[in-house]
Parts: sequence; structure tokens; C-alpha cells
Amino acid sequence: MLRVRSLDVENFGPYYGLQSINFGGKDGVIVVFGENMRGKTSLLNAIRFALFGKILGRGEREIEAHKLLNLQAKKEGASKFTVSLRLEKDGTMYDIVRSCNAPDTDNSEITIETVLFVGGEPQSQNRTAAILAELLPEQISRFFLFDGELLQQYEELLLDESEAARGIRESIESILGLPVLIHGREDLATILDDVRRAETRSAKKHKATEALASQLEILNAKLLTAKEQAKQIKNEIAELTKQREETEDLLGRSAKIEALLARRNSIEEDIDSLETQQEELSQSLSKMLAVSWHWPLIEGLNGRKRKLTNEYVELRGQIKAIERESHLKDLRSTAKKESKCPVCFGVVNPDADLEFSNRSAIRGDFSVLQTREEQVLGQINLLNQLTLDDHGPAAVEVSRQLHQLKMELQVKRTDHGDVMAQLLTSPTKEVEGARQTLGHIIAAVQKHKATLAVVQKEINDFESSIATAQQKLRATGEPSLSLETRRREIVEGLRDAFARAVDRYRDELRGKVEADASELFKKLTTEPDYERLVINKNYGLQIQHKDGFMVEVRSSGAEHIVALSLVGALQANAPLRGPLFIDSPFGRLDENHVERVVRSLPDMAKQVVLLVYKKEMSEHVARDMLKSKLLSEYELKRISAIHTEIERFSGDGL
Amino acid sequence: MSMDKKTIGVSAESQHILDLITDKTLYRDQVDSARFAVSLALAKGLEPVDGSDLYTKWNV
Repeated sequence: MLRVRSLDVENFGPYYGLQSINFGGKDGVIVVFGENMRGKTSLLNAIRFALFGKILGRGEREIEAHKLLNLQAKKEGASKFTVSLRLEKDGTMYDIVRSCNAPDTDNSEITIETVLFVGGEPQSQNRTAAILAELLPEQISRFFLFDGELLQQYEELLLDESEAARGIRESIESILGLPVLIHGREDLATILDDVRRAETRSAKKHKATEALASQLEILNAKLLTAKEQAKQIKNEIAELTKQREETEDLLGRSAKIEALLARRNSIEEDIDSLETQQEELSQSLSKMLAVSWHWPLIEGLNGRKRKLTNEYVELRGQIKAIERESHLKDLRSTAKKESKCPVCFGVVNPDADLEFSNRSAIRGDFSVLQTREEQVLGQINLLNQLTLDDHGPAAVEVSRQLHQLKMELQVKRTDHGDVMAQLLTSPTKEVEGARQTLGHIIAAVQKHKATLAVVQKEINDFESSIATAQQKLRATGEPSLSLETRRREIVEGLRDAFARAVDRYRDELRGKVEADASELFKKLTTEPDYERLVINKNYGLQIQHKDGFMVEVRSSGAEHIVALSLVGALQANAPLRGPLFIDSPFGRLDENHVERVVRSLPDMAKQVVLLVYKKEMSEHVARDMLKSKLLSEYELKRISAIHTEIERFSGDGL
Repeated sequence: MSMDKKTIGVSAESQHILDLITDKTLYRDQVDSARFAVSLALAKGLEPVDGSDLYTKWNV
């Protein structure tokens, strides 16, 4: 088990001064939160630089190391950055300290120094290269340190027959340990040549077998020449294939540039639209705010109006009562004076007590009440003239919409920045020449392959002739040859066994990878109708529906889940168990999938380091899903555009 | 008999807050945010503070 214990970076990329991350020695997940451009990918590159002396940019293209010198440090006169990586493998500590010194931008001045300590002991330069190559072979490192955004590209590639697909297939077979058998088969072929020659030499010493031995000698010589020729052609094809990959990569980038431009345009349209909406809402909110002083007063003024209205009603009642009393008084006075009721014209006894109205005394002073009534009415009319804006709740809603737009704009602008950064690093001039070069390369490869087929047939013919001659040799019954012949037959048997083993091991591995990837896929996917994954010879995985058919068109999210399943399955079947560093692993996944993936991470590798931005995975998701498996959390804090600091904000489980 | 105010002044601290509001919000004019502040103070029944260190900002 290979484990990354700690990483120290000094003046590397955005990391000014000395910054450290302690990954600890326990099984579990470490999360490094960092927004875009804070240095998540630089952390992966720091590890790559320590291990292989290389730094990768977008599209896995190599970047010159000295360009990673921190700009703040450079401004202050520094010319060197250093990365120290501590690894643990099977209980032994490996400390790699690699630095790059670039006193000038002239490449000739750039020096890269590497020092390796194994168990605290410094190693020679020769040993250092050999130990590092064995510790984590570069070819398989892509399955330990990878950019999550490239995940789906693996799956896309694995479903076609391109050279890039072949490269990834070789990487996969490499991580699964297949080269051990392949090298064994090749070594046995070389040994077989030797024992055949020994057998022939021995046969030449005896008269009965001399002629056959001479024939075999000639055949063996021809076979060796043909094999050499085949080897040379294969090397040339390999070289051409490499050139083809580079050229295709360049052309691929041309297609990618077009896709990037389309994406940039689309993002810019979205930004324009969002900005227009933002402007309209801002203006609307500004207008509302201009009368916002109304809002705190509304409740008080309405209360005041209600109180005045009540008082007016009360006053009106009192005034009416007084007026009624006054009218009754007049009636009584008339009745007494005329001894006749002015209403019913009945006779009234002048001695009768007509002062019954005294029992309900007239309340209040009429004129005071009237004055007050006028005042109250005046105030009510004044308040009615005040038109108070009551758009407070509407303003809150507009404010919420504006906040939402601001967030959306921020995301779009970040996307825009990413696309522009990719566009700026994409070459455009070389593309035209590359198209012509690719034509020449393809023609040359075809020619070489045709020649190779002819040579291969010659080899088969020589092998067949040699086998016939060897049978004849054996038929002579020359006793002194039995030992050499036996030796040859054993080596032939071994070579054939290794040849069969390569195919069998490959088939068995494919089956195991398919089973493990299917199991992981079912844990990760939210679609219950997906039955399993089916592997092809390139290790590409297809989704099989429960009704038996293959899902032909997959969403980018599904591609992502399938690719993660492949990575998990490769980890489970690789002879070398190592850490899993994933940069931006959840960009294309919805919340449910993110939760499922996070929960399954501890099953994918013993040590997992996630480099994420918070929108991709929030802190609470990490904590809720991982619980005790979450060892620690770091944050990449912006000090300035050229200065990031690594800060641990939780985790003592290391 | 109380007289209506003819001039409105703000303290240095209030001016700082007004600047912040203008900077961080969509109030276009400081007088609007000041009106809102006064209105809120009235609604909350706050007592006016000592106005000796105020300087005149608006004539009304």
C-alpha cells in the first residue's frame, strides 16, 4: 500500500512561501476545499513534479517546470521553488525533495535537483530514478492522480479504437500488472533463441546431425534477422504512433477550440441576459428604495388613522345624542307652553313633570365636541391624502431575485474564466500544418504495417521450418543431443504457457474489473433500472438495462459515474494499492449522485484526497456522508491572486 | 412652540454609514437612505441624540 503522508510546497504555483498539508497515516478521506484558481490542480501538479519532475496543464500537456515559480516570490527576487513529498510504502518512508531553479527565463539556466531519502537515508542519483520508477510508475499514475473533469474522456476513449484509446488501455493493463506476464513471455522468447543456438552448436559436432544443424543454423540466423527487422519496424511504428498521437492531440484541440469558442459564446450570452435582468431588477429596487422611508411609518400611520376614525365615530355619536336631547327639550318646552303635544297634538297637563330628560344628562360640551370633531376629521382627511407606498414585501422579493442572479452570474463568470484560460493556452497556428503531417504519418504507418506483416509471415515460416528441422534432429536419435533438446522443449513449453497466461490473465482481469465496476456502479447510480456494466476489450464500460439492452446514449453525469466505477474497480484489482487524488470530481453530478459517490469513496481506495470547490460538494455533505471516515478538511485561502495559503480547519483524526 | 427643522445634519459616524449604504446597496441618493433611517427611528420611537457635533448636509 502506497500512501501520501505529507506535502510541502515552497513558492510553487500560487503557494507563496512554505505551505504544508499533512495527509496522515490513517485510512479515510481528506477534503481540500478551494474555489477556482486557488491552486487545487497545482497540488496535484506538485505531487507529479515530486514524483516525475513533470507538470501537466489542461489536456494533460506538459508545462515547463520553471513557469510554476510563485509570482509573488519572483517579484521579490526568488528564482527557486521546492516540493517535498513524503510517501509511505509497506512501512518504509520515502522523502522526495525536488526543486527547480530558474535564475533567468533562459531555459539553459534552469536546473532541477532531486534528492530521495529512503528510511531517512539519502540515495544516489541512479538509485533515485530507479526507486521512484518502481514506487509509482508514471504510466499508471493517471489512475491515482487525476482531473475529475477528464473522467468522462476516459470512457469516451475506451469505446473507440483510437491511438489514445490504445494508450489508455495499455495504462490500464499496466496498473493491473499485465506487463509482468508480457515481459516474461518476451524474455522466454530471447532465452529460446539462445537454447536453440546451443542445440544447433551441439548437433554440428556429430556427423549424423551436422547437415541438419547447418540447416538449422541458417534458419536460426534468418529468424534472428527477421525478428530484428520486425523489432525495428515496430519501433518505427511506435515512434510514428507517438507522433500521430501528438498530431491528433493538436487537431483534437482544434476541435476543442471550436467547442470552447461555442461554449464561451453561449456563456457570454447567458451573462448578457443575466446582466440585463440584473439591471432591470436593480432599477426597480432603486425606485422602491427611494420611497422606502414610507415602510416603517405605514403601520404607525394606519394605527393612527384607525384610532382617529374610532374617535370620530364616538364623537359623532355624542354630538347626535346632544342634538336629540336638544330637540326633545324644545318639544317639551312647546308642549308645556301650549298644553298640547306638538307631535301627537294630545292635551298636556301644565302641571305634569316634563323634565324626564334630566334622567339622561347631556354629556359633554357641544361646542367642544364639535371643535374636536372638526380636528379629527381634518386629521383623517390629511392622513387620507398621504399615499404611502407599501412595496416593502415586493422589495424583499426583488432583493432575493437579485441575490439569486448575482450567484448565477458568479458561476457563469467563473465558467467564462475557465474557458478563456483554456482558450489562451490552446495553439491555433500549428493546426493547419498538423493536418498535412497527420496524412503523411498515417500513410507511413500503413506502409510499415504492411512490411511488418510480410516480415511476420517470414518469421512464422522460419519458426515452422525450424520446428520441422528440430523434429528431424530428434528423429536421428543422437543421444548427446537429448539434454539440449530437452532444455529447448522446456523453454518452448514455458514460452507457450506465458503466451496463454497473458490472454487468460487479461480475460480474467476484465471479468473482475467488470464485476467490481458493476457493483460500484450500482452503489453510485440513482437509476434502479440499470442492471450492470459490461466491459469491452478496451476496458470501455457500457450500461446494461434490466431488460437486457445496452444504454446507447449516456448523459455526461452517467459517463462520470461509469468512469468513477472503472477507477474504483481498477484500484480494487491493481497489484499496487495507492492513494486516490481527485481534482473536481463532482462537477457534472447532481446532489443525490454526489452524496452516493462521497459515501462510496472509502470503498474505492484506502486513502482518498478530494480537491473540490464548495458548490461542488458542501462541507455538510462531506461530514454527513463520511462521518468518521472524514479525516480532515483543508481550505485554500486567497490572500491575493498570486498568493494562496493552505489552512486546516477541521480534523484531528490523522 | 416647536419649529420644523430647516436643515438636516449628520454626524461623522452617520455619514460613514450613509457612505456604506450608498456603496453596498441600491439606494441611489443618500437622502433616500437618510429618510429611511429617520422613518425607522420614528417608528421605533427612538429618542434624538445630542446634535452638537452634526454638520448640515441638507436644506429642506
